[in-house]
Amino acid sequence: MKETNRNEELELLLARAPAVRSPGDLAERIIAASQQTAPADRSLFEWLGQLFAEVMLPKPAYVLTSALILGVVTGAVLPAESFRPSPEEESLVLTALFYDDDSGL
Amino acid sequence: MITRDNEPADEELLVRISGRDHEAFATLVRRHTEHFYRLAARITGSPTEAEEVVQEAFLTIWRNPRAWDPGRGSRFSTWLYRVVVNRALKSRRHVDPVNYLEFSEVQSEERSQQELLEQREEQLALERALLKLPPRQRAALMLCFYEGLSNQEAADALGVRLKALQSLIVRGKAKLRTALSAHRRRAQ
Repeated sequence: MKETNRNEELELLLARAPAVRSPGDLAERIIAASQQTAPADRSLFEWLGQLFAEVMLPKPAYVLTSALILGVVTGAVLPAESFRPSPEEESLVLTALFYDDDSGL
Repeated sequence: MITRDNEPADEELLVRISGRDHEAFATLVRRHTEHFYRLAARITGSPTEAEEVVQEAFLTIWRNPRAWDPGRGSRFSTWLYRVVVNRALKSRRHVDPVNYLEFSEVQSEERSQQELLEQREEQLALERALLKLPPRQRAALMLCFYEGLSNQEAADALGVRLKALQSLIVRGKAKLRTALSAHRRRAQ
């Protein structure tokens, strides 16, 4: 018998495979078992993901990235004086810088 | 999303199951249990194992409906195939196929009882040869020829590349042809 014919015959036999007897009540047993099964504990990330999904916010990764960008932009826009220490704080820092290092010598 | 039979689509049921809608889960189970049981039984060769495989697959969905992520692009049915096939491949128990296979020959006047018996014996020899195949080759053949999936769908269900699936099919078929030839020589 030619190879092609043998192949076709095999495929025909495979397609004609007899049925498997199934237990009729399997679906009902699965449904009953599910009633005694608690939902899996979610990880914090999954819980956050669902929270964002439910309130129609973007995915957490997007929100975190947006927060980071917002922080950088805010830092760049605000005047530098906003972050300058008071004269008292500045003198403390200078004292520590010039005198503390010398004490070790 | 509604199917043409006015029944909710699987994807719609999954959304409801995420909200702990047990009725939606029951609908999904009743819709797919029979089909996936038959597939699991064919891959494992064990009715008991097949029941466990299908039950565990559905309970996984109930416990964690978000395990299927539509964002990954695979359809729910493809994902469920993968879950059932993976679980079935881990099975180790096997039984003789004659114990659970249902031969439904169409009685024909043209066919003698002898011919029907021979056909049944041949089909049984094929079933036995299938159960002797390595599990992945058996699953690939079942998905393509028994389930009627396309090669790509079967590859997705098995979690392998298309080339790998084709290789599994070619090697599986070669072994089946050898087994059938041996059966025919013995029968003569």
